[in-house]
Parts: sequence; C-alpha cells; structure tokens
Amino acid sequence: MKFLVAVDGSKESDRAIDHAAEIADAAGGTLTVVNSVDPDVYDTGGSEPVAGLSGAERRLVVESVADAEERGERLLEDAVERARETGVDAASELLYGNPVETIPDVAATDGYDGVFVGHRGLSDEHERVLGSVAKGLVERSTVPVTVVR
Amino acid sequence: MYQTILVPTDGSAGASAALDEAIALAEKFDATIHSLNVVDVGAVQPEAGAVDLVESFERMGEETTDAAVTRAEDAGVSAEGHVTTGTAHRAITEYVADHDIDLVVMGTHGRTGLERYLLGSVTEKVVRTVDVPVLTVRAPADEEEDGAGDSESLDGAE
Repeated sequence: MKFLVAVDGSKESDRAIDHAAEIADAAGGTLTVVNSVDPDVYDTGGSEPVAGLSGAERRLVVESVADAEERGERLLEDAVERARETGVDAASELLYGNPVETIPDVAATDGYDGVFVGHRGLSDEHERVLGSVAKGLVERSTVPVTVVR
Repeated sequence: MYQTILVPTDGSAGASAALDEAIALAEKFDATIHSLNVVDVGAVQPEAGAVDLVESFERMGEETTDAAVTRAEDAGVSAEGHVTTGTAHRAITEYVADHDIDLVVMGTHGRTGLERYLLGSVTEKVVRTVDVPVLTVRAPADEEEDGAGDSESLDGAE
C-alpha cells in the first residue's frame, strides 16, 4: 500500500504525517509527502503602482516562485525526515499548481491507496473566506482522503 | 492506531463504499466497526403521526445497521449497530466522544451544486467538528455521469 501526505509545514500537517506514518507502518506501506507550489498566489502585483519597470516587476514574480519552490523543498525534506524517524519508507515530490487539483490527480494517476491531510478546524466563517485544502481534497479526490486534526 | 471505527450510514451508495473501506481497515488493524444510523427528528413535523413516523425511521435505521453489521461479520470483522435520534453531525460527534472512536469513515458524493450541498453536507460538518481522523470515500457511481447510484442515494436520504 502507498499513501500520499499533503504537507504545508503547519502543526496540523505534522500530525497528518505522524498519523499517516503510523498507518503506513502498520499496513506495511510507504509514504510520499507532497507540497504543491502554486504560482497563482504570487502572480498578483499587489496594490503598489506599477512604475513601468516591467523587467523588475517580472523578476519579483520569478523570485517569488523560486522562493516558494525552495520553501516547498525544505518542507518536504523536514517531512521526509519526520516520517523516516518512525521507521517508515518515505519519499517526496514537489508539485506545481493548485494543491486541490494537483494532489488528487497524482493520487489517482499514480495509483495511491489513500491521501492524508491536516485540518485546522477553522470556523465556518474563516473557512468560507480562506477555503481549506482539506475540504477541497475531500470534494475532488477519487482516492480516499483521511483528514487529520 | 484504529481499534474502533465508526461508519455512519444512511443506506446510500456513499455509505456503502465507506463501509467497504472500513471493513478493509478493520481487517488490517483487527478493529471493531460501529455502524450508526441517525434518525433526524428535526426533519419530522410535530403533527399527529409523527411518533409513528419516527418509529418507522428507527426501524429502517435498524435494518440498515443490521445489514452493515452482517456485511462486516461476513468478512470476519466484529461489528455492532446503533440507531440514535438527533441532528446527524451532532449525533455523530457525540457518538465519537462517548464510544472512544479512533476513526470515522464516511462517504462523499463529489458532485457539484445543490445535490452535493444537500447530500455531502453531513460529511463536511463532521470533518470540521470531530477531533479524530475522518476518512472520506467517494461512491464509485459518482465517477459516471449518471448512474444507478442516484436512486440508491436518494432512497437513503429520503
């Protein structure tokens, strides 16, 4: 059996790793931790007036994606280490795009048996504003999703 | 680890897919399955005959949970069934706390629009309110545009 864990560096995602590792260990399975770099988030120019230095503007966006990639790689390294400490076989994969779309796609295409994701337990109001990756995965994934608090 | 797994059921295709997943897990972890049917008394108007109606819903709930228990036991998994009254997600949350549940397994419909809102909202609320992990399973019929699963899940939701 092989499982995916969606990680974002939060406490909740650490708990999802711990839980998934426990289950994978007991089931004799392996884990793959994934983080999805979402360039959309960095596409907005913000409220600053554009000074006409379009080159600099582009550079800022490019650097942001590079930062996000670096952050993603770091998160994944920590996550793999965390999972391996429990004795389970773990790998990582950096994805690009909206996690709510990329993670279910990978889970289905690569034949995973389950997806684990943390949930912050936000109030209704917060969730309506911020959305929730967990909720999006539950809605979209054809592979079973375990939401961990 | 999973020792006691709760599978709320409304007799729908989603709940059936959830039960299959729960049975597979219970086999692996030697866990016990609790099948729970909630009779939503809020949906019954307080009129003459309401008591009869609740009683007949309870009987239907018992049939549904009995069938789930039989399916689990046929797979060699120990199981028990319960029927309770209340609002579905609240009753499920209380049951989790009162029975030391380690995992809740529920179906999702994965459809868009009103239908998902109506049918999937219990799962969504449980995901938000329960402290233990919630495993959500998509009903296989959802992958087709339209299928036999429709009438089944509507029967269950009625």
